[in-house]
Parts: sequence; structure tokens; C-alpha cells
Amino acid sequence: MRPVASFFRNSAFLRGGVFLRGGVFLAPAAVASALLAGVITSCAPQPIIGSVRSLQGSNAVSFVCLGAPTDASPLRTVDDCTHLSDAGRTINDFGVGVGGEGGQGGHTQGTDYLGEVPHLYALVTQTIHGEVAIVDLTAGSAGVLDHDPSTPGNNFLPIGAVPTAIVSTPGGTASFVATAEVGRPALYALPTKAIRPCSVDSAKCNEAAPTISSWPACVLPAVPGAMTLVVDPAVAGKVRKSCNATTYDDPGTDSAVGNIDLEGGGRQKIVVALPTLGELAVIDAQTVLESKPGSTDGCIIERVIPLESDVPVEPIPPKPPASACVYPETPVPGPVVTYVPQPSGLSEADGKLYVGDLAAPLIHVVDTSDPCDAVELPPLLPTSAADPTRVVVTSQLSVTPRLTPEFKRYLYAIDVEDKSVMAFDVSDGSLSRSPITINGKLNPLQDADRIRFSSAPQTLQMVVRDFPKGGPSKVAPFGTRCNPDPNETSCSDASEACQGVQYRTSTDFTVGAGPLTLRGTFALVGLSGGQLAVIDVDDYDAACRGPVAQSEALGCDKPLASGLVTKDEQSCNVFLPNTPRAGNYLLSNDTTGRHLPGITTYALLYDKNATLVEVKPDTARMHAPSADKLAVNGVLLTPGSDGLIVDDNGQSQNALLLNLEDPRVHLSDQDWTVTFEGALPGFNTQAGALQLLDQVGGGTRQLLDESSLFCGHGVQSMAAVREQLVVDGAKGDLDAQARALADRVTITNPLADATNSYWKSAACTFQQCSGTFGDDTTPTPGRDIVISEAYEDHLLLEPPAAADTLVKCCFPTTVSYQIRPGNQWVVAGAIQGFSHHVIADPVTGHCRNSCDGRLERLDGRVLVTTDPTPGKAAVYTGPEFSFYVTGAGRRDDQFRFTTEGSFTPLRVVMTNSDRTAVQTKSMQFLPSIDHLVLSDGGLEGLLLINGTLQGDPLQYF
Amino acid sequence: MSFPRFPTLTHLRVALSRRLGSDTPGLDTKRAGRLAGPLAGGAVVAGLAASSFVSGCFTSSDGLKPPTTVAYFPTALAISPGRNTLYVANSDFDLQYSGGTVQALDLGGTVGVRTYARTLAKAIDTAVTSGGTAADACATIDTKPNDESFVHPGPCTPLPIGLFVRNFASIGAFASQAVLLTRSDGPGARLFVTVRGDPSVTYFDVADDRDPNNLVSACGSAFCLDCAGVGDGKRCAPSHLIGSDPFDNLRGLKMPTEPIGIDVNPMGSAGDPIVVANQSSGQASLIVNRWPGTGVAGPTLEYSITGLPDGPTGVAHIPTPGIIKARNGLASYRPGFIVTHRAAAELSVLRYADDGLSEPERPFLTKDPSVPITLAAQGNDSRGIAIDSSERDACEAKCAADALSCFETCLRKPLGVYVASRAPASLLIGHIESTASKTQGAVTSVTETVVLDEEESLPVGASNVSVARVVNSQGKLETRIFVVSFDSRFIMPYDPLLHRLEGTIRTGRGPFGMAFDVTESDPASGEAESYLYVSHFTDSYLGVIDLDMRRRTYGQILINVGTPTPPKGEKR
Repeated sequence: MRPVASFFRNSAFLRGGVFLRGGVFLAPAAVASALLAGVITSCAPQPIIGSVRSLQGSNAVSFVCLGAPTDASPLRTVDDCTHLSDAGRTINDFGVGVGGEGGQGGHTQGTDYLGEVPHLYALVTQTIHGEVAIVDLTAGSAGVLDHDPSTPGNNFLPIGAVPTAIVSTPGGTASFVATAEVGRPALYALPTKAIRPCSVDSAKCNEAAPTISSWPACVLPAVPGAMTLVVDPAVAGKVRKSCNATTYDDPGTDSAVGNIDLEGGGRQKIVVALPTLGELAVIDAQTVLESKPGSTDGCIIERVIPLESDVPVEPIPPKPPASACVYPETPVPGPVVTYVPQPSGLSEADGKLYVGDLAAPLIHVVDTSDPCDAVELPPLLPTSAADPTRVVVTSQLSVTPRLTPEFKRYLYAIDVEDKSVMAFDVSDGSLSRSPITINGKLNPLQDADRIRFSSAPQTLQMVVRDFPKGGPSKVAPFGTRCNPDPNETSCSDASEACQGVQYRTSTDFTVGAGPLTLRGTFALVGLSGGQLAVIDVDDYDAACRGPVAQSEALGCDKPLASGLVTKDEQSCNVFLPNTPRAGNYLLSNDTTGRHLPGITTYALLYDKNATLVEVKPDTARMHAPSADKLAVNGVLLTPGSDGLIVDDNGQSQNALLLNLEDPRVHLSDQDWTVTFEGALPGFNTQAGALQLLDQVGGGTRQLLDESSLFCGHGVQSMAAVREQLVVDGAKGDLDAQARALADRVTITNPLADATNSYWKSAACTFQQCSGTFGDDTTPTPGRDIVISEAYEDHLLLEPPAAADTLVKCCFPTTVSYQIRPGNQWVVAGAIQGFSHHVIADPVTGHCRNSCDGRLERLDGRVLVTTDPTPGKAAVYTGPEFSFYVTGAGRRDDQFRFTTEGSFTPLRVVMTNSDRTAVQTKSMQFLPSIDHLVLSDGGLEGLLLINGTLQGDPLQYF
Repeated sequence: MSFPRFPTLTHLRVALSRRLGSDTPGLDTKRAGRLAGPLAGGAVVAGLAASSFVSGCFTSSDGLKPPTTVAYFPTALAISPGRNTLYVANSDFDLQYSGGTVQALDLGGTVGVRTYARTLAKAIDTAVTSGGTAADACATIDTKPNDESFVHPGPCTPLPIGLFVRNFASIGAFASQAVLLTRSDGPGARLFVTVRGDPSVTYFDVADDRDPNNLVSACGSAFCLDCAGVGDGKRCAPSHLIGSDPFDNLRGLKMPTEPIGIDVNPMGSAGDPIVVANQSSGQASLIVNRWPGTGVAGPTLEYSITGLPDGPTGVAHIPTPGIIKARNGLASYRPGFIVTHRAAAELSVLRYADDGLSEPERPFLTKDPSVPITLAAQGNDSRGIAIDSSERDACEAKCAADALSCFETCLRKPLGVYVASRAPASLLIGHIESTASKTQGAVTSVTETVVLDEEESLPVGASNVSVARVVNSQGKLETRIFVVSFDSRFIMPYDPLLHRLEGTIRTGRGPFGMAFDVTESDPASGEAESYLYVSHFTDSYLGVIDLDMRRRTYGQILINVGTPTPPKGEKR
């Protein structure tokens, strides 16, 4: 019978989709629809070009670099392979001068190596079928190699099921694959000499296609997880053949499978994580390589590294006494908590192996400088500042491969449950074992110790990148920092300061310091939505990205400088370590676009009917609290001493101050409202049970609504306000003041229609109710009931203005409601919503402000300023802007304005119309080709992204 | 091929559907044509056409009676609580008959499916260790070695399903899914099957065999399938077709079209809320089941919530936290259901309100804020959904009935959420956080938040997902998540502890329904047992998969039940 897959591949009828190995055909929806329509209405469907997909479920990847098969010693290091996707180069063409200049994806053609162009091969594990695919990244096309031409489609190297990890030795002698097949977890060795098929290596043409039994193998004691190679250092060029050896011997000679010791440096040891055993196993790589092909013997575990399982509950630093605020629930200090460790991701640098854990809130640190005597060091402690009680577990992690110029080293790890990333300072001498505090008071919109994304982080890779420029006398050293010092006008010597001038932003913004110039240390994060995020760690060009004249309002530190040679970006924190990298210059001009935070037009005041309020002496006005510049429609304007801006027509306009200390607080362009006694967002669709006193005064006045989250929406009761007044030293009748400022429930139900039969049996009349409460479109203040105390799921209420029984009679069913503050303006963003820092007291359940001082700016309530003299105005300082309001307001009077120039984090989009989904499973940066290599867990195979982050990714599938 | 009962367009669409192979039975409406099994005969295209037009054309008034001793496009499977009976819903997907059937198969009897599977598994182990042959092993269940194992995996030739069928009933065409409800506060069991052809949810009173010494059965048999069936075909009476009669409920409702997904939250005498996803109308229906002796007898359609995102498909209930029962009415809580959508990148969370303060009570559903699916690039085609409460269940099982602090501690154990997504093919993994609101230390209400955390790539065509347990190498039960990839004919076990797929289970064509036959201690052997039954929709037979890691056959089909029969008209 003709193979189905073969039939389909040759069928014009079904062209237009994606063929998978095994005959599965994946057609785009549009094609399917067209196909259906075509079948019904026409006999001549338009042929559409399709593509064959051979990679499916790609996961871990490793690389080897090889010269021509005819070369007696074809092994190279990955750094020797600098050619990527040479146009015109075939898989068996290793000659110099073949191929066009510059491969696809914008990569500059690499250098030749000893008179040849070695090929870079990616070894890609295939999880669905239990295989390793070999992909030639140097050939211009058809890079996916077929190891069995007698079988249709591309056929790969069969190994055990569920490959979890693959590593290649530095010199490329062999690669090792860990597989988690149930009942037979194993390590397979792939001698590099055996991985090229007949189509590349003619010596293989007389050999049968490889089978699972072709490979040296051994059985692991448990299912493996991640894996890495570490080196048992050589001594005077000699190696010890096992950890138990007492002597060091010469590396020996090459063999049929290869001799890893000849690569130099020492004896390679495989460190493989065994998650179900909670340990790492150290296995000699050469011993596995020399195992019998297809062996089912157990692997020789030279050393077992049991991982720490006890987590200390750190003593909590004493907190200042709470005053009108509460602390969230915190872990109770006590004896250690014991977990069953479950090692996940591995990352190694300079003899230290970092191990993530999917069960224990630990990142293990193992000193592997001598893998035969590996010692676990004190672990890192992943915690959550936002929820100290949460057990934070980690999957992938990555440590910076080299120190920063200031000798700092960082580790990044993915917090699985939180879908965020943490950063740790793992420099020598670092005292902290907890995540770095990234966001301070200036940016309370983000968690203090997390980097968060719009979708879940899946892969992580630390990258150190630079392309040193040549100076007049020498090439700038790797890591030279950009120098904005105006005194360095021309570079005439070899000093770093002088060399740093070369990295300034060019006049036309095309080269030099800028969003897309990645010089320094960065964390690249593959997101589940098919995007790549860039996190700044140490940008060598940071000093050249800021204002010409520094000021505190722009987030600059003292001492302040001026006259700097920069492009006058309006913040000193365009670059902030361990935060998302800006995708734009913080400027508004014709070249870079409008990216400076500002407002589109002046804030205007409207009444509750959305009618513009005419400005009169007693009209409410919005004032900027300082004379710092405000961008209005892209033009920088300066408010007067009264905090207002005089426009071109001589009219005083409302003003405010946009915060530029940290531009990341401007999350999105959005409409803002500042509403007098405005309804707090979040209750529009809520309905609750209103309970009031009965005829004889029994019961409790309360509103019950278990799904309301009153604290979570920022409700402030009379009791909470009173506590605050006491702390603030207020004088007079505090109860009256608290009552005036406390939030109140406003019943929004319409009354039953006047003709409704309800009124016939009710104890009240429609007229009574209408007169007391109005209808829902013209409500009276009688619908307000002050909140005496608030809990997450219910409110205790003060007596209503009308009798309890009348309220209950007029609103006999479940009530819809709003919550409004008393005598305050409410700030709300169309996207951001209403900011507050109210939490439920873990003991009493009362809604109170959090004592976390970092969150102080989250308070979207504005008191009316009666005395605007400096220091006495009731200035609202939110994360995004600040202002104060004078004049009288009426309920639902509303200032409106729109912000623009929001912070746009740098993203690389890996999807397109042909590649609608990307599920990144692994990511590695290869400096030799200046590309990031990602594998896709679906059908997209390998994606290669240029280090400049520009251009369409190269793709192999 | 002839289609004597349907108009021309119907013929064309059905023929096209059959010719090109089919996706999950009628679930695909816009994208059905994208994927097909390797040998299904080509690209699947016409799910929308096939599903949307046929439901309105089905009639049960004439035509051939459905076969009762073969499987015919089987879809849903369910197992009796005491593991004695396997219920199989046959969909009659090509409308060759006057309707589908529900069959009751013997599982644990001398001639029972599990008995045969267990016998063969042991025989294979013995054969391997003692140098025996496949023929030796197959002979123990009167079969021969299978020479079609690529298309129909399994070591031996299939067993006729008629060997095991003990009872049957006839239903409408296009049965989709089923759920078996056991009464939580007394004896009683009912089987509910969504039937798109009627459209209705057809229910059966079945045997409650939880207590092996006290079988509770409306018809006295362990294989009871009581739907007031009449005639030779035991056609279910209209009284058992929930949603077919607008006069049997207070709101005058009929079941909206395309009932697909279904799940129930067992609440016993208080009435069990059942939520049904109505795929083509963007609705979900609420049925409340009431047991005899609790007032209104039987299940009734109570409400249909509208305005849901397009393509409601899968339904799973959120298990009620133990603290709610322990607080004995002093803590408020609305039982929740999560609904997937095959045409929207979000999950809907519905809440059941029993309307207990009203007279008469008219229960209804409300909708919580949706859960956006941002884990995947598209995420707009999610199908099956399953919730894993095993960790919390184990915790609560240790609490004394009045140990409030214990139940409150257990509330911190998150529930796992698993969604089979097709855009791209992936398993979406998340959890449900339960938050207690407290006043002076006492829990007054519990709210829940659904969060999606991770995704795991799958072979194309993910369709169904279930939480089950396998027997590990130490003979203990371990949780696994099983995802069916209909088009790729794989079932993928996912290990939630290790956060990764454990391997692949190759099935026959069109794997769809799954049922798990698991016990911690089999009465006969005293050992843990676990089997997975899978319905092969395309070739109309069942497979039994071994889920015991101690055996060589772990993760493989042990026996096939029913003769694999390609769809009529398929060229091979």
C-alpha cells in the first residue's frame, strides 16, 4: 500500500498546510475553510504551497562544531563555528568561499577556520518520538538531516522515550542524552563521529540506519531531569579516570567512539538531576561513552550529591509598631521546615552549580570545582515579598556567564507559580540569599522583588554581549562603558573614558546607545505568548541614556550633573538594573516618535452630566505641585507659581506633574478621571444582602456580599479613618470628621414601579420612597449609608438617614450598590483602576491600609486643599503623577485627561502570520554566531534570533 | 453509499466528513478540518458542517434500530462507583441508525473486561520472564497475536464487545459526554449523557454498587440502565430526556442546542447542580438533580446562562471546600464550575445559586470574571478540562468533622486545573486558590481564583483531559493527568509532581472518551489496580490500557474490545 503520508505530500489537493512526520496533516483554518468551500462549490481549488514539518516537540538542544568528514580530526569547539545559514552552502560543503556574504537573519559572515568552514550542528531532542534530530545550522537550506533515506520524511537518531536533557562536551567529542522512559530511565551517549548521516559522511553509507541499540547507554536509578557537564580538573595535563582513582594518567589516544580526555582541561563529569530522589548524580562521561551499545547495565554513579531539604524559617526583622495600618500575614519563625527536594533547572559558572527546586523553596548551590568532592553551599532562598507565606519553587534558572566590569554576578530564576522572574546577587561576598529588591517606593505598581510579564516566562538565558569598537590607538576593551562626560570631546588616547565616547547615541539615533543596542549583561526571557523579553542587568551604555541636566524630579541621584552629552532623555532611570528594558528612547521627536510621558491635552472639569464646567473663582482646579516641566501634546511646558499653566490664549489651564523618576510606572496610555466622591471601581455588578434593624431595633446593620472583596477594592471605613486621624494628630470632633470622610454604601436599585403590586401590601408607599430616596437616575443623599467597619465579605453600617424600616421597605430585595468616599476626589485610570493599599487585617478581618511603606503612593484619594501655600496643600502623589485640587466639588464632578508616552518594554515577537504559535522550551545564546537559539515544543522546530534582536528569526523545522 | 433519510446537502456534508476523517465528534465547528489522525484518511475539515447541521435533522421516529452488541462511534465512557460496570455511549455519528445506545459492560465478572485484561497482563509478564510467546499469552484470553498492531495497537486480536454487554438502552444520536453521579449522602447513582441529536441530557438510574454487600439498583441488577425504556430497543422515555419538555421546569426552558460538556457537583439532598455547555449558542445550562425523598424527584432543567464567550465546550466543577460543610451554614459559598471555550481565549467561571431564600426556589447561575488564557500565543481553542483535588481531599480526610482549623489549613492546598488546548496543542496547567474571609478569626466566606501557570506542548489535536491515578513501582497510587490527542492518536500522561509529560501512549484511531478503573486495594488481590478504558471513535471499539508500572505493559493497550471497523465508505 502506498504510504498515506507520501500520498498526501504529492497531492495538490491538500497543499497549503503543514505535514508532520507520520502522515499527520495540519492545515491552517483558512485553508480548511477554503478546502471545504472548494469541495462544495468548485473542482479546481487553488494550489497553495505547503511545508513539511519534521521536528515535533523539540526540547533540549546542544551543539557541536565539525569540520569536513574527510578531515582526520574534524572536532572543533562551538566557538570555531562562526558561519550561520550560508546562502548557497550545502550540508556537505565545507569549502572556503562558498556561500554569499552574510547569512540570513542579518548575521555577518563568519571567519574561516584553518582553510575550511566547519559546520555547526544542533542536536535537538524530540520528546514525542524519543529521538535526537541533527540540524546543520551552517548550510543555507535543508539543514535538518535525514538518517534513514529509505523511510519517507526526515528520520532522526532514535533514543529512549521522553528525552529530558542533552549536553555536548566542550570539544565536541560526544553528546549525552538523558531519557525519562518509565521503567528504563537512561543515559545515552552519541559519539559525534556517528551523528552525521550518509548524505554528509559517505563513510556511513554502508551502515544501517541507527537504532536505539546503536548507542552506548546505561540505566539511571531514577527518572532524570536537567543535566550539565562539569570538569574534574587535569593536573599537569593528566586526568584521573574516575573519582576513586588514586593516580592521574595521560589522556590516552583516540578511540572508535572518541576520547573526551583529549579535549583537554580535565575529565568531563555528567551531573544529572534525579528529581524523584532529590539528589544529583555524578557520572563519568567517558565511561558512559565507552559503554556497550544498547546496554541495560546501571550507570556507574561516582558520587551522589544529596540536596538540602531543610529550609530555615528566618527570623523576621522587628517591625515598627503599626499605626493606623496593619501588617499582612507573615510566616511564624520557628524550627526548620523539611521538604523533599526536587531538583529542576541547572546553571553553572566558575565552579558553582545552581540548582532550582520544584518542591522546596530553595535554590541549591553546589561547589563543583572538584566534582568528585562536590559540596553543597548555603542555598539561596527564593521568597516573595508580596506573599511571605508562599512556598516559592523554581524551574529554569540562569547565571551570568562572566562577571560584570564591577565583578558582579547575577542569577535569574523563574518563579513557577507566580509566572515571574527573580534576580539574585551571587557575586563573591554577597551577603543576601534572598531575591534582589528591584522596585522601591517609586514603583509600587510592581512587586518589590519580581519582574513580571504579560504572559508566563518559559525559558531564561543570561547573555553577556559586546562588540568592541576600534579607537584611534586600540580597540576598546570588552565592557567599555559609554561616556557622556562633556569634557571628553574627542578620543585621543586609549583610556576607557576616552574609548567610551564612541558609544554615544548618534545624531540620527541609528547607532550608539539606544534601546536596540545590547552591550552588557542582559536576561532574555522566552514568554509563552511567543515573545522574547529583555531585562537590563548591566548596560554598558546606561550613562549615555539620560537627561543633559540631571534633577531629582527626573530620578537622578546626587550629586547632580549637567551639560552631559546625551540625547536628553527625561529620566535618569531609563536604565535600571534588573528591570524590563525600554523599547524606545524616552523622547518625543520626529525621529524617535512620541515616547516621553505626558498628557495629550489639559485636564478639564466636567459635571455629572458630562457637561464642561465653566471656570469661575470657586471652581475646582487641578494644580501641579512644583514648577517641573509637563509634556502637553509632546511639548514641554512649565507651570506657574500657582501650579497652573498659561496656554497660548492666556488662559490658566489645569496642570499636574508627570512622574519621571521611574518611567516604568507609566504602564499604558490611558484615560484618567479624578472624581469628587466618585464610585470606587469594582462594585458595578455586585449585589448584596442589606440587613438593617427590625421593627424593634434588633439585628445588625450590615451589607453581606461574599464575592465583593471590600478590602481588595480599597474600602475605607469610619473606624479606619478615625484611626488615621488620631495618628495624624487631628483635633476636634474626630468622630464627625471620620464620618465625613468615611466611605459610604450608595444603594443604586431602582424603586419598584409605582404600579407594581408590591406597594399594595408594603408598609410604605411609592411616594414615601420616591420622596426619600429619589429614583436611581436622580438619587437623593438618603441612599447613602456610612460604613462603620469594613471586612472582606461584609460591611457594618451606621444608621441610615431614613428609618431602617423605611429603607428596608423601599428596597426589599437584594440591593445593587456603589461605594463612594466622603468629601474626597477619587483618582482612577481606565486601565489602571483605583490604586490603594488596603488589606484585610489577618487577625480581625478589618480593612486597613498596609503598613508596607513601599506602597504609600498607592492611595487614589485626594483631599480638598483649602490652603494652597507650599507645604500646606493636600498633594496627591501617586505612582504616575502628582497634583492638588482647590475649590469646591460636587458629587461626580470629574477632571479628565489622557496620558501618553507610556513605558514600552522591549519585546521580540517570534510569531507571525505563518508561525502563529511558539512554545519555547529551551534557549541558548551562541556568541560565535551572535544568535539566540530557541526550540519550540510544537511544530516550529528551531528559531534563531539575531543578537541585534532585529530581522525575522531563522527557522529550521 | 446511500443516505435514504437526509437531504442532499446533508449527504454531501456527511460524506465529506466521513471521507476526510473526523475530528472529535462534532466538537470542531470552525477548525475541524485542521487536523487528522495519521491514518484517518486525510485532513479533517467539516466538523462545523457535520455538527451544526445534523443536530437539527436527527429524528428517532424511524430507521434501523441501533446495534446493541457492537460499539458504533463510541464517545463517552463511565464506570460504576463499585467498578462492576462500564457504561459506553455510542453516538451513531453517521446516522445509520435511529439513534445511539448506552451499553453496560461487565467489568469484574468472570467474563468481564477487567478480568480479561488482568489475565492477559499477568500472562504477558509470565511469558516474558519464562520465555513464552505472544501466542501463549493471547491464548489465555482465547485470542491470537495481533497482526494489525500499528493501526490497532494491542498484543492480541480484539475481543467481541458482545461478550461483555449485559444491558443497553437507546438514546438519540450524537451522544457526546457522560458523567456518573453518586449520591453524596445516601445510596443512589445516576448516569447523565449529553445528546446533541435531541438535544437533551438523557439520564439513567443505574446501580449504586459502592457497597459490594448492598447493591442499590432501581432494576435489581448491577447492570441497570433505567431510563423508562420501552420496546425491544429500550428507547429512553421523554421523561428521562432533561430539557426536552419546557413544562417540567419553572422557567419554561428547553435545552439549548449542542449540549456537549457536562459535570456535576455532588451535594446530595440539597440538590446536585449539573452544568452543561451548549456549544453553538454560547450558553451553559443548569440542571439540578434531586433524589427520591427530597421533594421534587428527578433532575430538571432550571436555567440557561447566556452571553458566554463563543463555543462553550468542556465543564468541570470546583470541589466544595470542606470548611464550608464544617462551618455548617455559617460560611457563605457558591459552588463553581469552569467552562472552556473552543472559540475564545478564556475560561468562564460560573457560580451556582440555589435561590434558597425564594419561594418557589428558582436556582440560577452567575458568572465570575473570566480567566484569560495568556499562556499560549493563541489559546482560543480549549476543549477538555479537569480539576485535581487529590491533595486537598487527602488533607481534609484527616480532619475531624468539627476541626475548623484543620479544614482551614487544607484550604491552602491548591486545586490543580488542567485544560486541553488546541491553539497551539498544549496542556494548560493552573491552580485554584481558595481564600477565606474571616471575622475575628472565624471563616465567614470562601472565594476562589483560577490561575493558569504553565503549559506543556502536546501532539496535535488535544481534545480531552482527565485526572487519574496510576500504580507506581512500589504498588502505590500516584496522580497523573491524561490528555487525549484525538488527531495524533496519542494519550499523554503528565506527571504533576515532576511538571512534565511521562511518555506517550499510542492508541488506535480517534481516541476520545476515557474512564479510569482504579482501586487502592482490589478486594480479591488486596493490591492497587489501575486501568484506562478508551473509546476509539473512528474505528468503533474500546481499548484497555494498563496503568500499573510494575508490569511490562504499563502505558500500553492490553486488550481491544469490539472489532475495529472503519467508517463506512473509507478507502483503505
